[in-house]
Amino acid sequence: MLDIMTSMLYIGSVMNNKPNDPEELFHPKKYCLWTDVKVNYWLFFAVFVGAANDLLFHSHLPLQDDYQTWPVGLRTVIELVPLLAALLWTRNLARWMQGMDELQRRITLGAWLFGAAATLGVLSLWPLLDGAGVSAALLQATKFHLEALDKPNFPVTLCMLCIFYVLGHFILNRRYK
Amino acid sequence: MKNKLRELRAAKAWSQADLADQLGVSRQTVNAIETEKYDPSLPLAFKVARLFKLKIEEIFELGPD
Repeated sequence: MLDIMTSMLYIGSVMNNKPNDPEELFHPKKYCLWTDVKVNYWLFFAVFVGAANDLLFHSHLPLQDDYQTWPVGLRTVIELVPLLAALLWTRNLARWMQGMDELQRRITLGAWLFGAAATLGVLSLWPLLDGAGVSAALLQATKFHLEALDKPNFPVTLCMLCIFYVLGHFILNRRYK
Repeated sequence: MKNKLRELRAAKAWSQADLADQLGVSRQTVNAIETEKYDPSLPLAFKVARLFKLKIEEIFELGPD
């Protein structure tokens, strides 16, 4: 009896949060949009609010002048909303990963680590490259303004993190296929 | 680490998906263990041993250092 109960303890605990592999984006039958929404809604909110903040209060719109006269406390709260949303997103992400299969958890953790390290590297190097004239050269070549990246920009940083995560996932997933 | 998971699974005529369902892991994990690209955690090794009613060392074997 004890043996059966122990066996149930080991075999019965199924924890398998099906992750959305980036590869599955191209296979609509495998890809589940709801999983993405359920795990990442705070990320979408952080990117949206961060972009709205940048557009409304840090661009050349007339609202920027008024914004400087608002109370410091209110401006601090406005600036911290995307960060708070990003923290809630990491909490969701950690919970989701806890329920994953162990190999998927290893791949996902490795991919996020790769994404975080690569994003940090790009953000650290960007001012140096900008100073060396890369930004101006890109603007001349592509007519694409990259001035927003000369200082940490929250929505762009989050998007960069996600792009590097997808890249890291592709690389690590190949190892175990 | 070497293992006999593929032989044991074949003896029971289970697919990788069947075994994955019984262990509560993904098929990719079963495949990675069978091809020896991934060493399972101790709890998962216990699950495998319990499932096949064998000792862990009868399924998994540590290769030479």
